[in-house]
Amino acid sequence: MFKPLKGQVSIEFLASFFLYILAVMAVFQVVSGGIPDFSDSMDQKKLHYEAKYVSDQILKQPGFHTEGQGGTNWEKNTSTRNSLNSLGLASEYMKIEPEKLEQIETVSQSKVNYSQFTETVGVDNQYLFNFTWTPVVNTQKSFYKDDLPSGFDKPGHSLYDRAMGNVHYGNVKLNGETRHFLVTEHRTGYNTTYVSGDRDFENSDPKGLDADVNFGGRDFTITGFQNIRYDRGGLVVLESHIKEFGSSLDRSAGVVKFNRYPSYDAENSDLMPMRVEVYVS
Amino acid sequence: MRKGQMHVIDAIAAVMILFLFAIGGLSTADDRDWSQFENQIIADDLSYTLKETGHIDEFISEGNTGSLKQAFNGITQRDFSTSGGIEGVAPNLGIGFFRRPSQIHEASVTNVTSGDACWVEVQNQIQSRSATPVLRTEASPIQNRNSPVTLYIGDYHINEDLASQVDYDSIWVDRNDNCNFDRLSDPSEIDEIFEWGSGNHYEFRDVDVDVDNWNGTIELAEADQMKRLQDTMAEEVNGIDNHVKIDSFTFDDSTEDLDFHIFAEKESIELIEDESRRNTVNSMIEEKPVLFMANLNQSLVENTVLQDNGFRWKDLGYRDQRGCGVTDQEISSSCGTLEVGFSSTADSQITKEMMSGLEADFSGISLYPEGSVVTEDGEAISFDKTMYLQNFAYSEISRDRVNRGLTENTSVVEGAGTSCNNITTGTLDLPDSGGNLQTLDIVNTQLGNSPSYCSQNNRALYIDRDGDGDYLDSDEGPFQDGETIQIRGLDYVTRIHSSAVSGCGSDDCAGFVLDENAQVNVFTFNSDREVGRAPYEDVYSSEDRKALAGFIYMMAGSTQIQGNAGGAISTNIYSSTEEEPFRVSMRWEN
Repeated sequence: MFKPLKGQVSIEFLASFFLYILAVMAVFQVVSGGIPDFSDSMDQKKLHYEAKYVSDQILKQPGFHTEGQGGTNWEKNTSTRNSLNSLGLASEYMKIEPEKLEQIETVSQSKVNYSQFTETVGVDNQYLFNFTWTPVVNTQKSFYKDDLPSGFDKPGHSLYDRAMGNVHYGNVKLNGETRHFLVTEHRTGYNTTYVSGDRDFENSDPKGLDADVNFGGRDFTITGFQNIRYDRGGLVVLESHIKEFGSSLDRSAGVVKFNRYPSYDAENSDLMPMRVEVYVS
Repeated sequence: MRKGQMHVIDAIAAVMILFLFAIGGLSTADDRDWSQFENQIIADDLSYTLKETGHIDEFISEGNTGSLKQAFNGITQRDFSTSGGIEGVAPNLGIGFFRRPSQIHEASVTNVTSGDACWVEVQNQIQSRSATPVLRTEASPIQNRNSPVTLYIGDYHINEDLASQVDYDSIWVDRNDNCNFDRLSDPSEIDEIFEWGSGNHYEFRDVDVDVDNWNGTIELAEADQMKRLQDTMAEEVNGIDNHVKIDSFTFDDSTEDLDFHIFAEKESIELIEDESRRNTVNSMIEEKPVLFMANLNQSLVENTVLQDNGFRWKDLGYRDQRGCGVTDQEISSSCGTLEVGFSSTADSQITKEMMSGLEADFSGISLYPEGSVVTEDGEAISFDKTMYLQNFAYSEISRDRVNRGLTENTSVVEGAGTSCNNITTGTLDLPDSGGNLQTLDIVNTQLGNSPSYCSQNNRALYIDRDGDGDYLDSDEGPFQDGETIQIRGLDYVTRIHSSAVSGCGSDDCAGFVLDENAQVNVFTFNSDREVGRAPYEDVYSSEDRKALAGFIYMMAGSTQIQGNAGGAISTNIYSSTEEEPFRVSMRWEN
């Protein structure tokens, strides 16, 4: 008869031992799969907060140069631009100054270029900025379509006759030119506008979404009509791309996008909002 | 249990611990946190920028909350869902005016033929503007009641894409004035109010046409009251525009798009007695504010939708300072000018502010309240005092309850603890909130535990609320002069008069004076349910309409920026237009 030995291995012990090893391997698999995600998440988070910091710096302060006694008008000339030590584009808090925006260029010898930007701002990541002027035209006033206010001539286009009764109107000044807008409603809502430099719309053609309106040589695209109550027809949204500045990024994977909305203080223009898209990778 | 089984259990436990540890140690990506942070920055940026560009002030001063939303959506190019409210300005409103069946009329319409008096003008001026044959009304009872007017209907709002779809939507009115369909006769659309021609106004509610025979009926609703109220509410409030559109509704119509409902005249309330309609109205009240404009009587309040919503009939009677008043709860113009007052409550102040914003002449208000209707807060009458009459009070409860003949009583009064011996006693007839009187004993004592203290003659009043002959209960006293107490559902101020008061001797005058709240309400408002009641007149004066408009604006609350955004992102924008401050509070979601 065999005498039981100490330290013998039973079937149950072996089974639970292998079960344990399998489980450890499974856990390792799960955790090792999560580590890159965790790492990516931390990188993304870092990019987000850096984008916020950099865009704050650009949009909320005027920037500084050290030429002479220093100052905020770094856009003034080559010397001030070369002695830039803080880059900002604002004339006031969240108000973009066109002269400063004009003096940044991704590749340039005479303007503040992208290398100078990364050096001044002190970032290693790649940045791309898109500046788009987004004027909103208040067209809240209205009249019955055949009863135009004094000084207005109605559009000669046949579509105008088929519009519903209430016509909205308003004007906006951009790039030194004032344009008057009539906004008409059809079955699907307010979707058509007639634009004129004066109030004579006789020869104005109807324009819908994505059509262009020119102000002082710059085209603005119509991107929206108001069809939300209250005051349907009371607003036309335009936009015009002003500038792209920064590194050419692959805007797909791994790029953080962050939008900011300052105002744009263009000369001879009504003060209007601007959309600044910030891409970081 | 076998030893081997224990190993298995150990292994499973170890695996579970390992899993929990591993899962707990892994951080999930916090894109959601960043998204929220980003949205908050966007909302702050846009709010600040549109305030700086002047757009927000412009939108608010014009009441264009839709423009505010559109600007946010359009600039961001993202379908931002926003919602919120604007405090400090009159709200934009879509008001529904309940139309009783007796106010809705139908008229037959048929094809216009060459024999029609306006045949030439219809062909030249209207037919070319209508996608379908123009039809005209035939003789009808509604026409017989008004001046001879012919209505022409057509499909005016045409579009080349949908020209084949028959959709009669417009009315031209020939007021027997040479078939003049020029711009003064521009068509009225469905839901619009038009003038019949004799000063009467109708709402163009609906049209039903058989396109095989080109005939059918149009539905019109009497709209004089609506038209006058709409004209008043079209006025700027404090120099700030807002949008008010008044449409009629019946129990068969959808009321989803309406922000506010009005039931006018007694007949409207009588029509709600049916249980299903009563449920319908109660559901409306759950969702939106409701105003009943009616002169009430007991049967219209008790066990009706009004009682469901906190209103109570109290047969209290009115009187003014000169004794003018009536016993049947009516104040007539014979009682002289009404002096309206406002309390310090927010509801009352907003009503007053809105009325002032409409440049109401308060001395010109002639809304004579009819019906003793109050709301109740628990068991006590709640005199909400949204707008009340300063010179009229509820006569059965508003009298001072002061006994001017208290007599000296040297016997010890149990509960009215004092070491002083200057005690006077008597009774008071005190009403409940319905005006029913009950006689209760009172004791006017000196306070103090020593002769020197008693000599200061600090006095207090006890009242035997439960009539058990003692004053032991904590709510039976002592009450000092000026102290407020509630007796039988009414709020009083304690008064212990000295001999300096005319008609009073030494310590023989004391009692309770009803708080000023007993003045007669013109408007009654249950703020918990957002249900109001106002007096009814067939033709309200212009100042009365301004008062009603102020009440409606208050009931409707702040201007709503419509939307369903319930996100964690919020912004507050403070500004003013023409020195009227306002606050835009918004919630954002994308």
